[in-house]
Amino acid sequence: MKSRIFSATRYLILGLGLIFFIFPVAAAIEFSLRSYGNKGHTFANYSWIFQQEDFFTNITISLKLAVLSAVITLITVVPAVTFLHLEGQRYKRIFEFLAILPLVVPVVSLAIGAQKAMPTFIQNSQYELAFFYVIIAIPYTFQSLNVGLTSIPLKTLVEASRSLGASFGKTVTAVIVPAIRSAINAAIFLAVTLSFGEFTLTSLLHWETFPVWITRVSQGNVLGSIALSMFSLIGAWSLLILVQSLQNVQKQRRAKSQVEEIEEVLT
Amino acid sequence: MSSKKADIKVNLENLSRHYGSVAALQDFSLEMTTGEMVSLLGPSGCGKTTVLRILGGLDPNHQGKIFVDGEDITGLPSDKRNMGMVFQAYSLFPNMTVAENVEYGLRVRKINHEVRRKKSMELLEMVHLSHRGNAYPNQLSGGQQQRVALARALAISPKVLLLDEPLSALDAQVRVQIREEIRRIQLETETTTLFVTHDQEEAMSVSDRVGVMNAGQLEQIDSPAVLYNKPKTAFVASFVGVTNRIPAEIDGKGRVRVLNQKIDLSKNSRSAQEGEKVMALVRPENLTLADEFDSESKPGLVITKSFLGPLTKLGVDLGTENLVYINMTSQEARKIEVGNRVALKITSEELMVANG
Repeated sequence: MKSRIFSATRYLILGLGLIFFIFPVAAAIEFSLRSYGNKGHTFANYSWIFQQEDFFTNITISLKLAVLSAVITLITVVPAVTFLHLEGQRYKRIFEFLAILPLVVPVVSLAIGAQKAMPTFIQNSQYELAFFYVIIAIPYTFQSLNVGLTSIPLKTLVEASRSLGASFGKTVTAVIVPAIRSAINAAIFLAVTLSFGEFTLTSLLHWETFPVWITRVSQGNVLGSIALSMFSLIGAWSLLILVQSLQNVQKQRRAKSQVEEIEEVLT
Repeated sequence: MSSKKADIKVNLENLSRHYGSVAALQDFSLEMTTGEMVSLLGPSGCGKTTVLRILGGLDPNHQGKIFVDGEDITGLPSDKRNMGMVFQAYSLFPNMTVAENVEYGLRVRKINHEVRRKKSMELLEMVHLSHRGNAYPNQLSGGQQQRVALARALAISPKVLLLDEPLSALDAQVRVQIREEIRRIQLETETTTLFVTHDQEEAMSVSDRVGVMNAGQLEQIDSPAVLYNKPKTAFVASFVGVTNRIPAEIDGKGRVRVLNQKIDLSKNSRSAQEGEKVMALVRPENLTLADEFDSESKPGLVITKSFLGPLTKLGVDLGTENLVYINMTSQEARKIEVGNRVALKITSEELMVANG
């Protein structure tokens, strides 16, 4: 009886969660398919997107910035958090506090202060945004990596790898990164989505990216702007699903080839 | 050069390690011969793991010198020492299969793929896990994981195999099984091995020599039999095996008066003044039942009786602070029940004493 109630509650919570998630998206999609003057549903708003001359320019720059943010996160935040876990346990609490600061520091201060700190050649390039996006994403990326690293016996794995003859670099790439791959994927996902959707800071610094452009063009076409938002949302999800699927296929291929190799050695 | 000197594989000279003002290890020296298995035994915090970590290159902040095969490796980082290590915590790489884990050290050394796959299969065969080569660590039991870790450590043909309490996370039955496997493989491969444990049964059953450590120092290192029968310090006597602490008094002729008997003081025992109250350290097997009227015995009441298979352990209240334990064959013990009065007598010819 108890288990039935538990099962029903579980499905109820799952159902409510799905409604909470799907309903706004479905409503937005429905809205984006409407036509002006209530003349039924149409893809006109979506075809309108591709007719805008700045569409490809802005989506390209946003994608580039998202990729750059992910790369910077990978090469700076991942080693930094790993090092903190290995050598800086006593400073962990301080760093945990520092990591949430981007949430509490007003974006205006961050935009002006951080830009002043940048070398001039970066200040003059739109790619400076990637560095700011990394900072804005730190509260999330740091926590994701922190949880990932806490869930594995990091010190023992590093010592085991080192005692087997691996350098620290090899240990990071061959042992740590694969062991916390899901945490890294989550951090990259967060960095990409945050940078792809960031508006306030970009707008304050007078740069134009996809979200800023959407805001500008939406002033002339409300339905088109919702279609644009849906397009970017579906586009981002498709990209992430594609990356995940490619990883799974790679993993399956590897496992299959190992089984074959072992069978070969045994025979 | 003597043959023993030529055969020295590992030489640790005056190792010390301090954490602030706390000395975790003080002036520790040890020599190990080729193919020898030495265990370091001691209570938590005695410095045994520190020795192992220093030898493995995982703790560079120490004083003293380390020689392996006559070469000074004190300054070498762990990845250049060629020492296989098995850790207390399961340390298999979770993203790699069992076979990949075993091959890892060889892959780092850029050994040909076919050679390393062949070697890993041989080692997995040795630890009876060749059929689990493509399993992931989370699909294995704790005992299987430690066997893979052992195979992985041996794959690099280590100069020294370092075992850091590898059995402590396993259940009792598996622990016995794996420790015997470790010894079999160690003898088969003739790998010089340093085994750290706090379990004396584990240390005594598989080692050529056992070193007992206390407060960062090596108290005694000897074969298990010598360590048990001829302890050099009171700490070793009470730490290794079961030891009764029976109130006693020093008499004038280098003897100790205990249980109405006068027994010679062991030459390894600390010096004591006449009339000093001490604790005599007596093994349960060095006690026997005596006739109740024997003037050189002490009567008491049987409080506990534990059946241990061929042996039975009796706990006897002699009016001292703790029960005094005596081992006897289970056949002899059949006629004794809890509540019976018995008299105990010491059979050993000399005794060690500790502070009273």
